[in-house]
Amino acid sequence: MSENFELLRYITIGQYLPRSSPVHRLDPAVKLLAVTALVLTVAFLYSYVGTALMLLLILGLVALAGVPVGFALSGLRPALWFVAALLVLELLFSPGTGLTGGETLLSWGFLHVTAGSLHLTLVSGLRLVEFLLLMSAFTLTTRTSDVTRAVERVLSPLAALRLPTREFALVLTIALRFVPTFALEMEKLMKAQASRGGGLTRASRWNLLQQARARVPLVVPLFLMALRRAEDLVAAMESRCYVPGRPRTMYRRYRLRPADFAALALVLAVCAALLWAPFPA
Amino acid sequence: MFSVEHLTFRYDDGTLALDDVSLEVPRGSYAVLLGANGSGKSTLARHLNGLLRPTSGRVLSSGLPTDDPRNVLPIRARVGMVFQNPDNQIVATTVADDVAFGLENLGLPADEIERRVDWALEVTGLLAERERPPHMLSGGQKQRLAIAGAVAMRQEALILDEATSSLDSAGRREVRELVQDLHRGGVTVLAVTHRMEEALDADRVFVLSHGRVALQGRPREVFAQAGELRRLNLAVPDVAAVSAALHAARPAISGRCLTSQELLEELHRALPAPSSAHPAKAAPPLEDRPCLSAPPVAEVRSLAHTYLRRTPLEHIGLRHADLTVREGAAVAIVGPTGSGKSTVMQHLNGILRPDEGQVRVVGVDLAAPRPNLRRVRLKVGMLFQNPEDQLFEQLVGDDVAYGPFQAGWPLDKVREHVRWAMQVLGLDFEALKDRPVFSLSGGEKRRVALAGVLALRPDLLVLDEPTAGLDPRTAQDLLAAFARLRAEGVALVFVTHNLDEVLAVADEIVILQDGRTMGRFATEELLRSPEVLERHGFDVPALLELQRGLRGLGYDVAARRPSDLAAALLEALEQEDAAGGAAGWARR
Repeated sequence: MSENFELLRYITIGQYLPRSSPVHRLDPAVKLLAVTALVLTVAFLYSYVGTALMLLLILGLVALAGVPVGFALSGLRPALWFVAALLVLELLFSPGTGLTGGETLLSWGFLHVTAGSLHLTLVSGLRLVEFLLLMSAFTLTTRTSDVTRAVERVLSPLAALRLPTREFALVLTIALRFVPTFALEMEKLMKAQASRGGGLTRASRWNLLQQARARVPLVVPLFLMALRRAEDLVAAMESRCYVPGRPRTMYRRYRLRPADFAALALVLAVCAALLWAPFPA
Repeated sequence: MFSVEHLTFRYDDGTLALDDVSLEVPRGSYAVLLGANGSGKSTLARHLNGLLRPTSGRVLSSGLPTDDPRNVLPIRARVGMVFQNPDNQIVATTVADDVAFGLENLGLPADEIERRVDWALEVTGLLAERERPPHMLSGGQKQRLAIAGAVAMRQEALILDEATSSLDSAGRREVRELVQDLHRGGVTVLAVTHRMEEALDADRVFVLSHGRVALQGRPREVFAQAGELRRLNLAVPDVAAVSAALHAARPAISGRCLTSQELLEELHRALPAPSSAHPAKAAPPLEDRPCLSAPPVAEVRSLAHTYLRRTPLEHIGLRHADLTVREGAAVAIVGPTGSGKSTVMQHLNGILRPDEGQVRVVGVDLAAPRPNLRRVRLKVGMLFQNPEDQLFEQLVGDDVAYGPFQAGWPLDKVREHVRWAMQVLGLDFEALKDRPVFSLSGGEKRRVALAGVLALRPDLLVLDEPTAGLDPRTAQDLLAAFARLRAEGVALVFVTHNLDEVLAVADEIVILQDGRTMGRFATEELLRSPEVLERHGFDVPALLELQRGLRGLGYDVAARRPSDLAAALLEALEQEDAAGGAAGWARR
């Protein structure tokens, strides 16, 4: 029986690694804009060369931030088999037309691996790794409080359109604030179940109904507790004079430094260069 | 500050929570609201800052009626509230931001907020934690953070709704001292609690029962009514109980002492110097007692454990722990939050596996590569602190039967065990088996959770803070159930913050600090050397303080309960009378 109850091991969102790297010191709003630009670039790059260059660039950023690459990727572990299966399906079943067409490399009955589908699979896999590295590099170097305020600042022009940007930021803050709390809660429930003999008669791995049934005693109490916490939180917020929609002031002030502008300009320039460079497909 | 006039409140489902309550809390006072679980005390507290509005009657808070919606914000700006669960009242992701939350809501400018945040963090001693994420704070720090939010708003009154009930003794002391400071600074305090010692700080006490004010007055007046308090599922503080018992037999001794110091001064005045030493009956040598010589059910040797190993977040849970639990014995593990108590407990039924050292439970070596976990899980029952974490099924009967079903027992065996487990804990099988779990009260939930553990008929019960959050009477019932289980041969290991409970239940006490076993003592030993506790940073329970003082007066008594202490002292006095010293000195 191999059991692991340490859920925090797999949750990198909402966890902050205190270091004093140049990436840590950047203004959070600048980081948010830069990460957005990089994510979009990753999504639009399709060539091997472009994607590979991007991976190098991102690995450079992660190293600059002082985040261990393995830890930044640990969010991938629980989903690893799922992702692998998806990539294999993509490799075997991509329609042999358009971008994914090209020379057939392998053929086995109705299954074909073409140069196109191989390309697509490799690039998709790399993209996934790049997305994950970018998100981890951002959240691990930026305190969650700064993340939410960055969102608020980046969105603030929209407040002029009467969109509830501050409420949105508060919702995000609370969501992030409770991520570790719920992970710990889930951990406790799993431990309690195991300690009462849960899993002694194991649900068969392939019997989906049994598998689902074994999850119900986890999910139901988790929801009930979430509701109770939400009730408490509302009482606590109201007690502290919170009224939805009422204007609030902001405690933290940010001042952009020249280094912030330079970093943003640099990232945007690199993204533009990668997107417009005539890499061979 | 607060004025409640004929307040009646019904919840939407029609339950009557408060029934014609009237009370006055003057500005600058320190009031305590006592009551058993479900007596309506939290509901009343929530009326005082307008979170709830009266069904009928009137509540004035800081002179403003709470039923006028326009008053709600001004009232909340003046009256702060701290809730029981520290986790559920923290909004922001850093300490400073959380203190600022209320100020942002009031619309203060940024530099004013900054000044006040710094000041509030300084007052509450949290300046060093300014930029830390709140989930990394200790329980005591979290509650001080909640109080800092109120301090920053310069509030006139502070309502504490069982704010210390989930804290260890160090955390409770931190919060209590902070609240006393604020009170001296002019803040009106209203504390909701069922910890009697906390009521001693107050200048007035209100006792609530079934939504009505049953008793009120100064702490001394209220605690003199021991019988009435017991009837209301409350207990008197240990010293008051001893004082009252002595007074009943020897009217010359005051029955109204509340602190050990008061009672000792009173006894110094009233007792004759003993004509001879009064040694307590010698305790049998420790080795002779079965609980300390029986074969062990669980043995922990040099255990170390690291959480989140090989991640940047790894931290040490245990460095070097030793523990032996013998068949039928009760062992208490005490230590501050973060000392590794839960980590040790979770090794005892194989939830955690040893990184280093040995753990041998019910004959299974848990450090072996593939131990028989099935045997461990079936033979070692574990009760977690929060019963909500271990009630998974919708109906009580199903939940209690969860373990036996997982064990794959036949239906009639399951049924028989479920019935037995519920019966031992005083739960009515027929009446409760089809009740939805969520409709149970806190005390019932705890007992149902324990029944679910017992249904597997374990040899060893591992209990994490079994009585936390229960009112004294419900806690007493649970302790009585433990005594019945021990009579059936079940061994107990329990973690607790409550040293009075250790004295009442445990044969042996293990002190953990910073992941190490700092000492193992037979409880009898502690009765005569409470210094051990002091040396490890614990507050000496009033009962032991009293015995230490009595030894100073020449009366060597050793007792684990207030009633035993009074009886032992009275017996010594009888001997004194018989010896003819000051013949019949204190009888009238």
